[in-house]
Amino acid sequence: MRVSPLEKSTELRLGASFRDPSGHLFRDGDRLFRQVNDCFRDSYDLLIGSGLYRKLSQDGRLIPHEEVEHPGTRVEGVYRILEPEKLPFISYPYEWCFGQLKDAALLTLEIQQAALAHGLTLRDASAFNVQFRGSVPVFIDTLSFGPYNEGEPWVAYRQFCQHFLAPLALASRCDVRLCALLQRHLDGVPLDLASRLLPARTRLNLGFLTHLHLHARSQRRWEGKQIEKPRPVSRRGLLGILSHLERTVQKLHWKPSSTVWTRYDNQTSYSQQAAQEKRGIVSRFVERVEPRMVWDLGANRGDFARLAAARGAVAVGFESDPAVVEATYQTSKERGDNTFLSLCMDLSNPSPALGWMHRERDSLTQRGPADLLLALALVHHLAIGNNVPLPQVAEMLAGLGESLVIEFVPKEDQQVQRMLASREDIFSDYSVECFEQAFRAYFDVLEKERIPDSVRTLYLMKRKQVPIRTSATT
Amino acid sequence: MTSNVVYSVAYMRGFGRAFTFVLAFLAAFLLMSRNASAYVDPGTGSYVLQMIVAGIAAAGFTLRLFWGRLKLLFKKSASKASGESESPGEID
Repeated sequence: MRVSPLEKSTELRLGASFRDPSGHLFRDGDRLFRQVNDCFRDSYDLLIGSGLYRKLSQDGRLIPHEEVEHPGTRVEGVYRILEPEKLPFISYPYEWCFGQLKDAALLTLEIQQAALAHGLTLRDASAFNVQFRGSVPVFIDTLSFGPYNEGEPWVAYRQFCQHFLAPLALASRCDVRLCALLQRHLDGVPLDLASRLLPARTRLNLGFLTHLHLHARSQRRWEGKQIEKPRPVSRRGLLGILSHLERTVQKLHWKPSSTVWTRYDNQTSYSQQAAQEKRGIVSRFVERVEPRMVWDLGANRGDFARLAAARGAVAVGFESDPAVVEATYQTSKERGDNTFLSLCMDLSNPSPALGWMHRERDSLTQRGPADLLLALALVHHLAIGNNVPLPQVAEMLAGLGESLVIEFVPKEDQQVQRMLASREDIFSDYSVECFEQAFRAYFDVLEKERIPDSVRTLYLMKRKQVPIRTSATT
Repeated sequence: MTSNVVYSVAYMRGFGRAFTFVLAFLAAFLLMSRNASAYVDPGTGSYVLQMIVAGIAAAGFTLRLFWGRLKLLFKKSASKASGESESPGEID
C-alpha cells in the first residue's frame, strides 16, 4: 500500500510531539522537520511578519529554521514544513542543575515579553521547550507562539509556575534534590504540593505568596468551577505579572555549601605528574577516535569533556552531584562554552523513557550511542560503590557508545582503599584480569597504557559489532 | 480553551430569557479572546488569580516604569554635567 506524505510525516512523528494540533516534529532519515498545519497559518505568518522570529533567532534565543520543500508540503492541511537547526543532544529539565533551570525560566519570560511587544504571546511555557547549546539556553518550539488579544490573561501562567517557579523555589528554600520532582511530574510540580512543602516563612515573600501559595489556593477554590464574569487582564497588568515573575526568579539562588565546593576543587587522586600524563594519554586517544559526540560519564568538573570539546567534539558531561554540575555550569557560562553541556545523572539509575507510552522523553540509552565515552575514575564507583559486577558495567557501556576511553582503578589505589575501609571486601572479582575479560566480551582493546606515577591504567576500546553476552550475575 | 467552554456552558444554561444577553456576552468574549489555538488548559484558578493580581501588578509596573524614567533622567543630567567638564570638545 502506498503511504501518503502526510501519513508518512505522521508515522515519523516524534513521540513527544502530539499534543499541539498546530503541527508536529518528525524525523526523515537524519533530518528533523517541523510540520506547520493550516490551522496555525495566521500565527506562523504573524511570528514571521512581526519580526519576532528574526529578532529572537538572530540573537540565539529561538532555534532558527528554514522553510523547505518536502513532499509533506503538498498535502492538504499542511501549511509549511520547516527544518529547524538540529541540536546534537536533547536534555530534560530533570537533568538540569538549579542554574540551568533558572536560566531556562528567565529565557521563557524574556521571550514572552518580547512576544507581547510584537503582538504575540506564548501559548505554553513548558520547560521542555528549552534546550541548551553548551551553556546557552535556546527556545526550541516555534509553534508556541500565538496572537495576543488585549484583555487575555497569560494562558501559560499556570504551566510556567509549575515547570519553573515551583521547582526553583523548592530547590532554593527546601532542598535542591526536590528538582527531581520534575521527573515524576512531567507537567511541572503541582502547586498545592509545592505550597505544602515550602516553609511557612515563604509566605512573607510576595512572589512566592502570589504565584505559588495563593495560586495553589485559587486553583483549589476554582477547581471544576466556572467564572461567571471574567474581567479582562490589561496588557499593563500582564506585563506587571511577567515583570514580577522575572524579579521573583532572579532573586532565587542556590549555592552548595562551601565544603562541597572546596572538596571538588581540592580533591585529586593523582600526583601532578600523573595528572598531566593522564591528560596527555586521554588527548591522544580522543584524537585517534575523532568523535563528533563525546559523553563523559562521571564527568566531575568536566575537565576531560572540555578537552574533547577543544578537539572539535560536542561533549556532554554526566555527574550525579548537583553541586558539581552547578559549579561546572557556572564556569561554562563564564567561559561562554557552547560545545560542552553538564548534566545531572546518576549512572546507577539513569533517566528512563517517560511520558505517554514511554515515548515522550527518551531514556539516556535512546539518546545514544555517543561516538566516544569517557569513563575515567568511574569503574570503582559502579563496581564497588554500587555492587555492579564488571560484566554488567561493560554491558551498560557497550549500550551507550561506539568507542570507550576507560580507566581501571585497582584495589591498591587510595580511592578504592577508602571505599573499602568501611565495608567488607566482597569483591574478589575486582581485578585487572577480570576487568579485561569482562570488557573483551563487548569491546576490542585498541590501546592500553599505564598512567605513570600511579597504579591506574587507561584503555582505548572499540565496541564489537555483535556484542557477546556474558552471563550476568546478580 | 477553558474560558470558551465556560461560556458555552453559560450559553446552554441561559437558554430561556437570557438567550440574547448570553449570546451577546459570548460574542463579546469571543471578540475579546480569540486564542482558539491555545491547547494548554490555563486552569480557572490561574485565570482568576491573574484577574485579581493584574490591577496591582499594572500599578506596580507603571510605578517601576516611572521610577526607571526618573532615574534615567537624573543619570542623564548628571552625566551631562560631568560630561561637559570631562570632554568639552564633544560639545558643539
